[in-house]
Amino acid sequence: MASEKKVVFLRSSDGEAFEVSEEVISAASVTIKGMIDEESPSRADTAATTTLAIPNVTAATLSRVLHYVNKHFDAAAVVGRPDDYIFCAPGDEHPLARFDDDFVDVDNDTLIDLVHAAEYLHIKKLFDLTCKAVADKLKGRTIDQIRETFGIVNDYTVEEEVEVYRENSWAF
Amino acid sequence: WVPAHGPTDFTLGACKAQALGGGSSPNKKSRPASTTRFLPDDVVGEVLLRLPSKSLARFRSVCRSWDRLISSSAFIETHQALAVAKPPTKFALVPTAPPHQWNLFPHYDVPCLECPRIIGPKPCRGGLVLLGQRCTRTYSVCNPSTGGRLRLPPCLTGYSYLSSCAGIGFHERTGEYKVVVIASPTDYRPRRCEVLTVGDPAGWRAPAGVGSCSLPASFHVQNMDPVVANGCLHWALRGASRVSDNHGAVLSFSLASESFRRLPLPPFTKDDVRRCFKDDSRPYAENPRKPRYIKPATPTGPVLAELAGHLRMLRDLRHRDDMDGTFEVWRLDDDEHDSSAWSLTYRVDLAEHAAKRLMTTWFVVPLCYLAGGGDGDSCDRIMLATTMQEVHVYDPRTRTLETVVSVVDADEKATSPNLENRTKFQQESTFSLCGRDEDLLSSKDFLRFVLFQESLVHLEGMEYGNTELEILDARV
Repeated sequence: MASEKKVVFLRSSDGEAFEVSEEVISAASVTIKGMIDEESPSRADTAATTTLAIPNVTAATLSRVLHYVNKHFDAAAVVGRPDDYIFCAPGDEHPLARFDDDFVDVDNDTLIDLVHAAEYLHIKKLFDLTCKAVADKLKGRTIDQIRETFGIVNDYTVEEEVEVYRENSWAF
Repeated sequence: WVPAHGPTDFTLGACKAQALGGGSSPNKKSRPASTTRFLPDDVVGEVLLRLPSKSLARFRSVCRSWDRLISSSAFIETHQALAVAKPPTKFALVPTAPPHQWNLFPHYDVPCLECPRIIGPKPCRGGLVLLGQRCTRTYSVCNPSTGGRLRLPPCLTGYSYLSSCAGIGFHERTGEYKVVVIASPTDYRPRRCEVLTVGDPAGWRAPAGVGSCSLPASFHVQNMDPVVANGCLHWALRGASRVSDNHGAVLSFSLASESFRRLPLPPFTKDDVRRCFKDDSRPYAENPRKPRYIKPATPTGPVLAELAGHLRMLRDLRHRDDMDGTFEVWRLDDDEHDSSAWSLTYRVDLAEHAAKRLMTTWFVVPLCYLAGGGDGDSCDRIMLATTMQEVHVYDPRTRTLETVVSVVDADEKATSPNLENRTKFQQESTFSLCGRDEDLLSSKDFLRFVLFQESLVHLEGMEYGNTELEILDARV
């Protein structure tokens, strides 16, 4: 029994199923842990594996998310302290820090899909990571570029815009 | 926002629940998850929280709702809390004016060095720091992350002061910042203390709770800055002289009651707290950075610090033959009822080759543990700042130091082309750099930098755009 790791299947919105260790995914995702806990009374002592529908996440995104989750959970098991990598000293080369950098080095749409998936699945570390990556992409943009990115209509009057610019002119 | 430090904390609950005061959360579960190019408002808020203050100040111009969100106090607080929860990677440095004359006595000037200066190695609540010019006793409250600077009115007017020290603290209950200055006149008049509540039109005033005997007679105003912990400012008092039995104490000033009280020192021996003088014939180790035989110019003795919310005292064992280790960190457990107990919580025990690095620097100040917010497990790394103007990370597992910041004098900086190589040195490169110019750094009495924290905090009356602060990155 000890050697038999329980697995669950996650079915993406476009119907693809992914296998993942139950232990890994429940540690990572609050949402899926909740789903498994709901299921568990009915599947006690049954050999049948569980398939959970993840209707909000596509196969492409889900496979990325599981790659992240597996990587982080494995590393956590080795280090023994899952959050260790966050507290690396400035300049420290932690393997997961490098992994994280590469993980979010993707195009905007993929990144935004990851933000949505992390939010829906309640994977805090991934949500933090992807939000930070989006923030890094926005950091240097001009006001007009920001409006375009988010489809925001400038609702300031000319006078108001001049005033808010004046207040923050040090930052431009 | 509750920073999650627990080893298995993957919950999103904390960060979602806080959300952003303005509350703009359409039912996210009904939205199509992918293919949307735009993020829902609540996610936009989460993204904005992770931006530096400067970008956020610009982005207030995007539209009214962004402006409302970014300038809301809930957003400012959450943004600040996120910044505090992260390990420090940046330091702020104020360029120092060249030495200038300081009219201390009639017809007599002394040179004023290190002016202006950031007071204290760590910012107070909201990332704010106190900036002071001791020759004119003018102080400003500064937010290094926005460059905002609030000039305070002149204090202790009337006569000249040989030495003064100041500190800033945040009074949680009233949400006020208070600035405290203590100074010794050049003549034999008594020391004075003045307090200013930021934003209070009354300006500088006598502390509300001070009785006639609150400022102890033996109070030696040191150049070391006060340390804020438990709602109090703390100074290390030194024994009156090296022959007296007076071991000294900790002087504590409560921001709430504005009164002083004394706290005992940890159970140190006289050797730990005794004042050293220039002419002490202690065998100082050779300074690896300045091969010349130098002696520190100011007394050391116990150094105060704040780590993980507690007041700490550093016991300096660098020149002790009778005890092992390099430093000990003692923690004060202080309660309201005058019972305070010190306990030894952490040791810095450098391997021999690494110890050289810290042998001659005068003050060594612990800044923070680099760990999951715990109270410094014996295997946690610690960040140490020194008056060599460097920051090191000590790793107890290897008993070594990694130098993460090294501040170079302004003159030298102007002439050297490879500036970016300076902020994080490997030890070898630092040595070679010093070999090239041995006067690169000198041992000073102050830290010239402060931990940098992103913060949007604005105080009424702050000016922008005139503060020439430099931000040092601890990463290359």
